[in-house]
Amino acid sequence: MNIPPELIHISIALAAIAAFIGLNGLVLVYLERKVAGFIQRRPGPYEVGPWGLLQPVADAVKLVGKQLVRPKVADPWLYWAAPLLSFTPIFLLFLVIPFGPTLTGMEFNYGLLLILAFTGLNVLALCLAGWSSANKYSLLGAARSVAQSIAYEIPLLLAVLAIAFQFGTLNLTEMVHQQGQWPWQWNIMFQPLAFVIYFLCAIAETNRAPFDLPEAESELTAGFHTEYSGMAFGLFFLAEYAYIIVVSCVAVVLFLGGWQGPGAPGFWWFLLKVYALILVIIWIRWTYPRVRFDQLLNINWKWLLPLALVNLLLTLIFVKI
Amino acid sequence: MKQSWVDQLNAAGVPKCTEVRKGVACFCLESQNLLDSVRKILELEYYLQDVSASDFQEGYLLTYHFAHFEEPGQAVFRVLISHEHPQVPSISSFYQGAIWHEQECTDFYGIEFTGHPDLKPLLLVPEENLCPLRKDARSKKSFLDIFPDCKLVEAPPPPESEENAGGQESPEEKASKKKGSGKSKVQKEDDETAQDSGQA
Amino acid sequence: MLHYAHEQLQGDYYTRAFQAGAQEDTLIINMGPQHPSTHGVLRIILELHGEYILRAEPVLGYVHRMQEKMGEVKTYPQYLANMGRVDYLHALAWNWAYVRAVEQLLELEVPERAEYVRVITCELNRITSHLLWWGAYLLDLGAFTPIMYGFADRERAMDLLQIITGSRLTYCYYTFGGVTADLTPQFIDGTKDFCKYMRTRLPMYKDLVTDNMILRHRVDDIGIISVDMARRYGVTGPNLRGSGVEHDLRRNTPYSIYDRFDFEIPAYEECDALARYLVRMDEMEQSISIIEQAIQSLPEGPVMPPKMPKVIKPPKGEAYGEVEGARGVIGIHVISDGTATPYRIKLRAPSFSNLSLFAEVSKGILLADAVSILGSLDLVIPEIDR
Repeated sequence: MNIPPELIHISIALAAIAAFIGLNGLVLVYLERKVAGFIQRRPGPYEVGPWGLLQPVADAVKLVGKQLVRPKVADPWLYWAAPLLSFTPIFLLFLVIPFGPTLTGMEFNYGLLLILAFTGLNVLALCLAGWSSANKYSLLGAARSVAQSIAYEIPLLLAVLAIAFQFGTLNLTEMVHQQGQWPWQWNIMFQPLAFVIYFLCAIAETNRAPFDLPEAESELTAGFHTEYSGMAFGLFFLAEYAYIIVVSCVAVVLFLGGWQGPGAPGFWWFLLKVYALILVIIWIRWTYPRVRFDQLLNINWKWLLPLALVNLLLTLIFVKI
Repeated sequence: MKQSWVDQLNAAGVPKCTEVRKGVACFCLESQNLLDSVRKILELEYYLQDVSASDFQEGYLLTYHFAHFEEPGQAVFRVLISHEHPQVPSISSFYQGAIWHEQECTDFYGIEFTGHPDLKPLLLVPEENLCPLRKDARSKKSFLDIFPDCKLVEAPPPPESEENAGGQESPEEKASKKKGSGKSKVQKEDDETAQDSGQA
Repeated sequence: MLHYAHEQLQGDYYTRAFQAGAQEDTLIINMGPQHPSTHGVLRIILELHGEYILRAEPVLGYVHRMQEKMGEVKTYPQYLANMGRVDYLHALAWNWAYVRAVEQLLELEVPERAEYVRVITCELNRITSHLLWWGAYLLDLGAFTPIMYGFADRERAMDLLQIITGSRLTYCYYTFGGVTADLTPQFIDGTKDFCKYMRTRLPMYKDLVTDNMILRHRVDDIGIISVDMARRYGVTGPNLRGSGVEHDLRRNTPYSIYDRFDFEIPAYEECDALARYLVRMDEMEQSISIIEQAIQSLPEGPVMPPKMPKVIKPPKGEAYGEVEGARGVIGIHVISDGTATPYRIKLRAPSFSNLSLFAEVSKGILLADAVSILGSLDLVIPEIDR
């Protein structure tokens, strides 16, 4: 038997990522509910386990135990394929993220490109979910999600492109190496506009409030996942949280110095920064009302896209000089 | 001074007021005069409060409540229609808010509003024709007994000729007909009542 | 789409009737009777072209309880309990409209203190109603947090009302000639505190929510209700005052003792959802002011007339009890035949008239705006269906 060492490495990495996603899902559910409770002046979950710590476990068990229901007229294949399609690419995304100086699933020269390419798959999943459910609300949610994702992908790519030009590489580890230990050495100091554009687009891409139009429950009941129950819904849910982690990870790598930090650099700095960003995202969700769809697209086409272009141009000029 | 809105309505050609209570002026109308009067009250910028029906021995009494945004005073239109031919012109062309009120009356009493855009059931199940608010003969009271001031019932709506035909005519035809045929007995009565109440 | 040709998806009577008038290539969608933003069992059939609404038709009757028939079989005092159930958010206004109508028939004098008690409790109830509307409306707009704040504040007022009325939501507190229980010192102190507390809360809500840019953009310039339209549909209450008409029964035909208090009628000229929003926010302040004035000048005395008939048998005739509720003019038309049960009771629900214009106002707007407009009308479904 001669197993190539890369394969073993990747297998272990995938297993670790699966554990990481699962654990983070639980933590984020708890965190989101506790933070929401804090913002809304209520205790949040506190019945199950000490301080309600076991609440997400109870939620997960409930979701797993529920019956999977498919509407009679829904397309059987696509209906079940959609949540899987939404969830599986996530493993690939985490593979290239440098959690620490040596803590990377797979050193890959086109890491950034891989992440951008595979996050695009989520749109397809939402579109399929909406269409195959044979539910009009789902269909509307899917249509919204496609329009929104495609629109916001453009300024996001432009913002990331500027960073790639600046660093001269698509390798995420390399990018972190080029940033320093101290906060003023992080890239956010040189690219604040790109960070703002990236962050707004990231919220929109992950369908988080105030840009959560594909699942705007006051308009479309639950949008594209209206008909899903049990773990099929759970997969969408988990995927949504995983994407939040991914975009936060990428933001940390591109703008906040990755694992670099004052004192001892290491994955703890990385996780700290990621969670700080996630907390901001949660904070925004529980604070703002939802924008309207035409407003959402206007923000994109009228503001973010021109700004991203300007940012790209300025970056190019600086890089050339 | 206190009855200025009544004078205004009277001056506008809405048939004379038959009964004035505190802040309320009642006008008893014939169903063919209804649209004409409603048009006038809309010109006076009154808003529609509600349309309701009730069941009496003499027939169904339709009550239209109007009030004004700026001035005090409530105007009440009463129209009595017979049980045999429960038809009345719909005022929904003037007051669109009446569409639902009239549908509700149809639900509860089976009254037909001619000219209504869509008389389907509003609050009750569409499959059945229940008319739950119709009273049985035993519990029906006399309209005249409860509203002695309203002289309208002296001339109960003629069964065939005017009532039925009036319902199906357009407003213009009705207006011309009214002018041509002159005042009916009912309206004369109304005039007398107005004088009475004025003296009182 | 092939799927939708399925037999079971043909829809009921109303959907089929609605579908008959549909254009080609449009989407017929049922919003409700179970839908997060219709707050109850309101159903609206929409014809959509993309996200634009071509046609809308509200379908009513899902919580219809035949209140008017109940009025004809119950005695006058028995029917009092129904009034709290018509509009569960401003139950005391319905209480008041009904007792006013019967008091007019009986020609009863209400003791002065009872009038004050009615004003205080009714205005307190109005604040709770507006607070709930505020939270629920922002929930419709996708802001999750304000409803929690609104509920927490509302809870305080409901605790106060519970002291004297004994119930928290469906009050049955007013009675012919007065109120069933006198105010307690605990209630008076608590209400004073509540007024002070609300005076600190409302500016905070203005800063945090009302001035939020996203909210402003969501409610600005949508759902225009002109005065003429309001007149034709019989729109009243804050919805009308959002169209610039200062019509308020408390001022126009001052019933009870409202002419003794100094308060403003907020009105905004813009006719849009934002104007209606601002009217309600301002109205809460005015209600606080009325409560404070009423508590300050609260006279001593009985809360019921000295001599009340054992059996309520109003003389023959009719009466129309009108009250300014949180949603508009509440009118109860009672026809009495001289017996112990009403001959006919007609309930004029303000939400009924306010909703009836939705079909007209929703033509050509976005689906998201439909939710926003529905919320801005402040509908209470049991009141519409009665």
